[in-house]
Amino acid sequence: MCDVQEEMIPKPKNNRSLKEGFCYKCKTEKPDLHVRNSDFCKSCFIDSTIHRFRNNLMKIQKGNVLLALSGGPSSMCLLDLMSNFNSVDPVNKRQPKYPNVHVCHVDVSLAVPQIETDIVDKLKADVERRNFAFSSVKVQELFGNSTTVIAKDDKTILLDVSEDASPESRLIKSLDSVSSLSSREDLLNIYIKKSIINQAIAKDCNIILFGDNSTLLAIKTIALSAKGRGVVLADEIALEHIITPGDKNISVVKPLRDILGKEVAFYNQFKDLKPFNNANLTTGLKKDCSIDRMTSDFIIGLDEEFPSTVSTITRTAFKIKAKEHSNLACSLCDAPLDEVSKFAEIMGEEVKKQTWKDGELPINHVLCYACRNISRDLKKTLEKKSLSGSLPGFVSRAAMKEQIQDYLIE
Amino acid sequence: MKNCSICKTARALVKIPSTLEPSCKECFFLQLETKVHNTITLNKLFKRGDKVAIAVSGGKDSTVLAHVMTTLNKRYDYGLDLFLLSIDEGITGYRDDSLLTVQRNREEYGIPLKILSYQDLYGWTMDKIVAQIGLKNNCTFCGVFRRQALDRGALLLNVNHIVTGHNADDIAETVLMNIMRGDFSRLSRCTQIQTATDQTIPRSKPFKYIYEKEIVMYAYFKKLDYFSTECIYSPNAYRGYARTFLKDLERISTTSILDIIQSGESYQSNVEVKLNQEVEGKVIVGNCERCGYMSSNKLCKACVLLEGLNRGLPKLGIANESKIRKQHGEIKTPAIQNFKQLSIDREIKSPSLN
Ligand SMILES: [Zn+2]
Ligand SMILES: [Zn+2]
Ligand SMILES: [Zn+2]
Ligand SMILES: [Zn+2]
Repeated sequence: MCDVQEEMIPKPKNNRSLKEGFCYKCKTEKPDLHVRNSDFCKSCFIDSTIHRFRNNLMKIQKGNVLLALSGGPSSMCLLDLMSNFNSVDPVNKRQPKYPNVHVCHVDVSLAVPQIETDIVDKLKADVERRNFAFSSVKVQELFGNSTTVIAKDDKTILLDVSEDASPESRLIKSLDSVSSLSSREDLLNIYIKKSIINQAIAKDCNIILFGDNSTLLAIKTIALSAKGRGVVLADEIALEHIITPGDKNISVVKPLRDILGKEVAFYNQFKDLKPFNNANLTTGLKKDCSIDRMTSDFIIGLDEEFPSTVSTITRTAFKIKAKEHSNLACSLCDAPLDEVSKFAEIMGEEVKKQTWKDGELPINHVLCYACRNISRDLKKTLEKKSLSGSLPGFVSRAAMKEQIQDYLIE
Repeated sequence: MKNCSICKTARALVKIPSTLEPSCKECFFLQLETKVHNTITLNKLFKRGDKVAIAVSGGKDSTVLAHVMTTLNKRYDYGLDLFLLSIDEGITGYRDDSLLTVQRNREEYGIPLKILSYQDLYGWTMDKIVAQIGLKNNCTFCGVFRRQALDRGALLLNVNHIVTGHNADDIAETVLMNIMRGDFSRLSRCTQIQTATDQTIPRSKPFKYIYEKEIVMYAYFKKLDYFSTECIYSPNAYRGYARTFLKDLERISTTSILDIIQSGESYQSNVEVKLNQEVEGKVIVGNCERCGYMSSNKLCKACVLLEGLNRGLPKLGIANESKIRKQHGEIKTPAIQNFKQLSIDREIKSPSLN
């Protein structure tokens, strides 16, 4: 069906160079790199990167910072920019804006065996050299004291409070029990984020810094859209958004959101930073193995052909406003939950008639749209392998019960 | 031999594309029709006595839509007055044959049919436009002209609602395309089930949640004939990228199309475009001075494009709208049928149907 609108293929602008063969900024040095249609010398480029980072952090209130460090290029760049930001101004000798920075690494080596074994030690040394506190948590620790959710069928999940298995085996079981790699990636990402939030609470931090650069946010925009997670997009790509785990108010900040992936790579190269290969669940697999992986290849390829792709996508996505939602949150990913999904009704599910009895939860009332897809995936695998799959439940039974009070038959 | 996962007795003949559940023919028909019925009733698209024009092209989507709409109108006694409305863009070899399908639909369902041509409305067929401007930007002309043509046809038929055959694949593709090319205002509108401003007739997409494959399967098993309406004048590049990417996504996850629509609904803006009120920098001020169609400028988009065509400067119409809008008073070109006149006509006499 052709309701085609105007062609709007972004055309590359003319090269911005006022003086042929010299840096666009200082106009005196020979250029060392070409980015955003301009030539820059090394020092002007580093200055401009530091400037954009500073500008973003100046918009954020004071507080205790938790910096999330995976060891990949973006987070290593974030770490360096943060220590630069905190280095005491030799002229004014002022106290830095964020004197308390805690760097936290989530160890996912149990789930991703390709990860270099010495990563934690090397990160620790690097961080402590910069006079920041460092901690590393294993992602499976999340399973230590939480309720497990078991999928019963595609409409119901059960709560399992018996915790005889070790956190290690529960993490592995949880990831193995979904059949698609996209669901597994989603789960691991949710677990990592949860671990970082838990650390922020434990270390009494009210600001979390993530290293997402603008290329990663463009990929995230398309990938979240493709997975039905559009409801959290505005927050996920915002410079700052507030989350409220428990009674805490935590500010989640992405100070690199105006810096391209390519610029991160140049920065790291010029500053001689040594990021680790960001091994993940799809490392070494084909490009169509998961939605995240395929989207990443797609956007990076498109950006090579049309160099303004990333900025066009992020500019559009930044305009999306988070909508007013009910206070109900998805038990798995914390996304806002609609009380009864109109979509499920259209697809013929009898959402209103579902009730909770004997610890059975109707999934439409505890999981968001996208997590219901994961839960269905879980169920498919259970049928095939005849084992019981588990997702860690992050809310207490009481909180869940309160949430679905109206549907209970006592 | 596998049994149907819905009735558990009949032999399964198809897999339902979004879930891959095996289904028999009858259960497949019923689940598709029920999804459309739920879409219509839960969104309260119509009320009893509404006159509804089904925009038909002879292609698969609209052919199946005409069938499903007539079926549901009878089964659930919606009490709708249905009409078929077809636009002839004047593309040789593309529209000629498909209009025959539309004629057949009229006989089969006993619904009145109105065919409106670009030639009659604008004095130009798409063939003539392409001969003059080439293949670049021709889709701009076609899109603008079609939008107005449907509204004009609806007025002639005296209906108060238009339904189009846009399916879930179309909508998901449009969401991706609008993100990729940075069109936020279209992004925030493209997943709406119904679009309407004060002066145009409401338009709905009852197939919003129906996969293209389901539509083809439905036509195949119901033995409905349709023509390939893939436009011979190529679609734009970004839609091509979006389409390929969507096909790749679907191979990874069968629910991708629905997932994207679900996401797109979160991108809808809450602001309604109202007359004389600024919304995202645009003001709808009223009507086109020449033809009376709703427009935020003195001349509507179609009149600007026509002006350029008639003066032999089609590129001017695309690149320099303001220039044409400034000069429009000085140059006289045959005006297209007046939109307001159409509205008055329909009050006086009932529309003639061919
Ligand atoms: Zn310089
Ligand atoms: Zn969720
Ligand atoms: Zn059946
Ligand atoms: Zn006009």
